[in-house]
Amino acid sequence: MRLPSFRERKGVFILMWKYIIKRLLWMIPVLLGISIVIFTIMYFCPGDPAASILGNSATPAAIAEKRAEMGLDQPYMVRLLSYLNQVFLHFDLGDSYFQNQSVMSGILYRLPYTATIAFICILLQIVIGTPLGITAAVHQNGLADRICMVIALAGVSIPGFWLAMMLVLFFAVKLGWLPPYGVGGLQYFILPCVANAFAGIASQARQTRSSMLEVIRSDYIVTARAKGLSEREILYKHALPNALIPIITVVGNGMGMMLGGTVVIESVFSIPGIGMYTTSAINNRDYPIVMGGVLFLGALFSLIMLLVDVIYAYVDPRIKAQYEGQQKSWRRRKKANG
Amino acid sequence: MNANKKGTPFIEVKNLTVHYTSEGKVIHAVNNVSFSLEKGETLGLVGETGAGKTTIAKSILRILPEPPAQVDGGEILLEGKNILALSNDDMRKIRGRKISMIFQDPMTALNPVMRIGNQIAEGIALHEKVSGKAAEEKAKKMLEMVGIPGSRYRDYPHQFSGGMKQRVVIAMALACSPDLLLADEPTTALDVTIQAQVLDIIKNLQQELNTAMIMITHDLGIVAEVCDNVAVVYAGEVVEYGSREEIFDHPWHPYTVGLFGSLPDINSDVERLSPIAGMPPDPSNLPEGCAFAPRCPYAAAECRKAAVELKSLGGTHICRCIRQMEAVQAPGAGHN
Amino acid sequence: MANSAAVSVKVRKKKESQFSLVMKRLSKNKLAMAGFVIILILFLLAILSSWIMPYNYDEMNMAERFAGPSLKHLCGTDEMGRDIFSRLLYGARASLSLGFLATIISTVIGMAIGSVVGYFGGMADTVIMRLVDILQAIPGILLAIAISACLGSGFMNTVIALSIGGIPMTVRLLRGSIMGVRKMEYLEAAQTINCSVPRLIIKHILPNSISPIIVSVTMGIGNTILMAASLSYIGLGVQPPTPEWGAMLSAARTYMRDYSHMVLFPGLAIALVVLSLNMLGDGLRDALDPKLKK
Repeated sequence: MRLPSFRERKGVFILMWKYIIKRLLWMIPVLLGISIVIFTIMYFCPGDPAASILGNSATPAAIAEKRAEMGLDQPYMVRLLSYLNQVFLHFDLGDSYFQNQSVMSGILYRLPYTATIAFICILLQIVIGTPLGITAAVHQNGLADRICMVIALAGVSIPGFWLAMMLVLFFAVKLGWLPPYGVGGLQYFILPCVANAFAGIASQARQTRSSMLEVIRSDYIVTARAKGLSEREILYKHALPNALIPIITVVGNGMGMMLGGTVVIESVFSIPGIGMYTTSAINNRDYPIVMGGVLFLGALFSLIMLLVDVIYAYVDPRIKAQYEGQQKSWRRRKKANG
Repeated sequence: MNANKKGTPFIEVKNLTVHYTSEGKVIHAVNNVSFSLEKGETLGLVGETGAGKTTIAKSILRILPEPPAQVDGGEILLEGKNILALSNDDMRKIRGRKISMIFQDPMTALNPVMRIGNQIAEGIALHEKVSGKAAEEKAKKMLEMVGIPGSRYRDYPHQFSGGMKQRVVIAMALACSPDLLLADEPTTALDVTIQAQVLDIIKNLQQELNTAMIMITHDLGIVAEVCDNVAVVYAGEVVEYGSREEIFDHPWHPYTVGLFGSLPDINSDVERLSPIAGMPPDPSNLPEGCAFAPRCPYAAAECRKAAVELKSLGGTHICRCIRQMEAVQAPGAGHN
Repeated sequence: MANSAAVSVKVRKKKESQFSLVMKRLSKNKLAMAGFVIILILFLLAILSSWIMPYNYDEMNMAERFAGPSLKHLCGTDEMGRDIFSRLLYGARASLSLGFLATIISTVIGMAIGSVVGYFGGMADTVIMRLVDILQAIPGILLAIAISACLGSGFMNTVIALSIGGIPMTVRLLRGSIMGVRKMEYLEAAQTINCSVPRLIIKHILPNSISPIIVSVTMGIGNTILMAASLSYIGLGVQPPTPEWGAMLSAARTYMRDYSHMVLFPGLAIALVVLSLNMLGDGLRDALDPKLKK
């Protein structure tokens, strides 16, 4: 029950930093890939941005001139490379076609809304979903289990945007307790967050339950019981730490779902977040915003997954050992070279 | 049963019966098993895989998964007190303290995300009501006792080999100096060279602590090495019981004889081993009469009619067979 | 030869018994059977909708606009006076076939890629798994939105948009389970008797990694239906006048304050289908992996 000594902890920290830096570097090709994929999709989108900027009255000559000005007449490879150059070497996501604003500042302006929703949702998912799953697993096939699982089953089956509409009908229109849409104080976030988090809570509960059930059947739980520990101690000291390891991944993936869910939820509640920014840009064919938005959310998701992996490695000694192994082999190599 | 007449035996199992329910089928795992054991003694439970040996051990510790398992009847008397009737809280005080168990598979018996030292110290802190520091000291001592340096206290199970893990499991089982040790095939998962070491460790510690031990195994070599008494288990029943000498020198039951027949003997120049023909019976559909009758070369019509009772053969030796005389081929093999 | 024939008969018998064992376990699971029956009924209703719907799905009746649920119109009427119940029945065709088609397409493609990648490993594995990483870093709904914006609306385009997003998951799943069985000894045994590689994959590897796929397909159909509904809700995907459920919700959104029945019933329909698929999927998972159940 002694805490790790300073030296031990320092060792792990250095390893972790190395790993984190490696993963951050690995994000560069992933983001490059995302940019190429999304650029290509947008390239093949029908419609001519130049024509829509100039409006219906524009002459073909004026449109051609505008196209040349925007570089739209260039071949695919040239445009792709210049986009990648602009994004990755100048950290510039370009300018919106229709709004007099750079995409980056548009995104940063909207980030707080999306981030708030995503953060509250993930918090709700963990704080409500995990205990629900544990309760269900501990009382397997009992009443509590059935109730939890019915809630969870409903949660993963109901479309989030529909639930949002129903919540609005009930709490905003009928009872008048909460605002139906828009942004403002915290009360504006309640309905969107509940609607968006429900699926996450449900899948968290389901995963926690099945992970717990699997762990409860392990031999080492029998060992713990044979030692004379109480069921409570077995649950919290032996079962839960093991069950939580796979659940961390679920939380990470849930973040991806959350980010996707906010895209739709923002449009239900007219919240000016990144999702709304991106989807309405698709309808307006404002491609720089679409590409920037997707790239930004992709980067955000990659960062979250990195965080998940770091936590994972910190919790599971087997994975931590892999880094230690790496370091040892690295040292050996250094010795052999030196 | 046991001819020990000193009064109540240390542990006595009386008519233990356990069944499992699986997908609507009832599996009779343990049927009317009785035996007893004194402190410092070792009893070997011998039989094929699936004969119900592990179920017997787990019922003594009351760690059977219920459901699907259910104890239907019988008593397990620890110093005269029926532990099957104890409350869960009282039973917890016995587990790990008075009775503990070494599990078969060391690979899965340890919690993968907990330091091995803590896994040992946990039980000590619980039963001996000592501080964390003292428990850690004792756990280190236990590690050293099974031949693992105390400096590895803070390692995790994945950092150990199979044999080392089994030693950790042994250290854990013996940490509170239990009065009864249940060793469930403690060496099956190990290499032959390590088997001997692990067996030595168990034997020495047992002698040191004067622990009673039930050794579950299908390896007659281990029985010969560590056991005082032997119970041969077949299809959830004790078919023969006796001292090591009685069983090894004068095996009576055709099944026991068969077990010895399937053992290689370097001293005789038999060209091939004689395995027991056939398969153990389906425990959800046990034959009427003697369970071994379908595989028994000496079975007669009467064997298949009614259940066979245990009969005394003199000494502590008892056997569940009505055709003993025919079963023993070598003249003069039986008792007189 | 006669001997090998006997062996193959025996093997087939064992396979059948395994299949029937799974079916037996599944049939004991009431929730799963309920899900299965509901899906079956919905399928029948969707197929027969042309004959059994009380009104034509696009028959307008301006005199009865926004009528609430009644015996005449079970789920009420919409802003054009069209019978919502009939539209839901007919719309089941679009929603169900979207979900099934997109999931099956993505699973087949994902399985092909996943099994090849998982079996051969090496360079192909590295490259394709990096691609999978990239595709998975984009939130699924955003990818579907972008692709369907590019392809335009319409049934087949929506199917394609939805299936592309599902491929990476199947690849990952199958690759993982193949990597798991690849080192098993029975594969070596198969190799020693000169089993060709495609045969090895199809006959020996796939059957042993199929159960997670079956479960993920069942659950995947539900998810795809949810995603399709979200797409139509945003204004992409299948468009009105085709009575797809999500599109109906999208159209009803303007009137939902005053005529809540217009959003209630299409949403319930979606929830019912997805719920049934999830119940069936849960049951299948338990039946295929009995150690999780008991």
